[in-house]
Amino acid sequence: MTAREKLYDAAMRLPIVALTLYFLGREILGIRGLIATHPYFGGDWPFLTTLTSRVSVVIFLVVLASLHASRYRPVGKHSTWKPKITAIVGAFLTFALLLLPRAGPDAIWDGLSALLILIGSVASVHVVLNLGRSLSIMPEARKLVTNGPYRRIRHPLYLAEEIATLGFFLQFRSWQAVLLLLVHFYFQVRRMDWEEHILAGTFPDYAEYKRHSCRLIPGVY
Amino acid sequence: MSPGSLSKILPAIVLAVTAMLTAAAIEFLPGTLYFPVVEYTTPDDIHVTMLKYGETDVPRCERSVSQVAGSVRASCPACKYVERCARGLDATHRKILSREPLAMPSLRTQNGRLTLTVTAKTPELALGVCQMVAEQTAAQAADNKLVCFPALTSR
Repeated sequence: MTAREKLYDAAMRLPIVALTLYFLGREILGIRGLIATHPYFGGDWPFLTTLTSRVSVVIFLVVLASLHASRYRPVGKHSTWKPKITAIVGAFLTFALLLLPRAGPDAIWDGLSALLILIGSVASVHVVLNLGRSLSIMPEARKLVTNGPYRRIRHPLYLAEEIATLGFFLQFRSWQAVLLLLVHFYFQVRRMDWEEHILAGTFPDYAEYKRHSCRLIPGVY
Repeated sequence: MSPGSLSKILPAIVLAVTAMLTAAAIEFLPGTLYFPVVEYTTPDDIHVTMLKYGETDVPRCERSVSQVAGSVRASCPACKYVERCARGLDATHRKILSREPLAMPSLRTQNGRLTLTVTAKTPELALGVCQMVAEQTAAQAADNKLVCFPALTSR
């Protein structure tokens, strides 16, 4: 890769990394506000659960930012705007959820939220350890990975992200959040369509791999 | 370390990081907050310290201080006042905001956002003032109602 290509690649990652870092900062300020209105003096388990759920959002955003900062350059991608816009909207709707007003603290919902986000974070890192740096926001082909979690599921990273997104949702629990979540799911499915399209066009082995794997949830979808 | 072995210890790493960050938030974030403090002394030497939950910036804290001081000043124009925004909580203020027993009578709202401590020439006088203030706020909404706690009782 030439210096110019490296610079272009870095510039292409910058917006998503910057946006993730913006929401990371926003979440940290939010936690500061939470601590301000509820200083902790020990033994307050419901508050600890709420705080842990907020910290788990920070951890997931750090995971996301790290993943996007270290991805490979694509070897194949769509030339039209439609898949790119689908990808951007799908990815950014997760962040849009964080702009909504949060529901009040609730030990059960917040505990469940923390659990899902942490499972999503662990699963994301686990998938990426297998994926290497073939990660992207846009439907792009970097290299065909069919080992580890990819052996049975074609989009395990989406599955991990959706588990975490569901965890985000539990901190909001409003009809606006439901609406955002549904639209986000729709765009994520469209992203998978485009990704499979580009991977099938780039890697001849993809059709065979597709026959022996499920898209997201084994036995269901 | 291979990706396979890293994957195995990943849940433990993420849990440890979560616990550490949660503890760090509790330990260090209050040091970056501003806590409204209003102290006043009446002509007959009754000293009241009012402490509220924190604000994330100075202007908000100053607004909160003015609001609290303004309402007290209206009822006691002859009192001497000290109003300030304390950055972080020192050991004394931390104890006042907590539910630990205090050496003097204290008042707090149900949600704990506002706490007052009362000292006077005699402990009986301090407790009397504490109970009187609690009675004065008895008719207010639950969040503004102050409950009096005698010295050395859990709150």
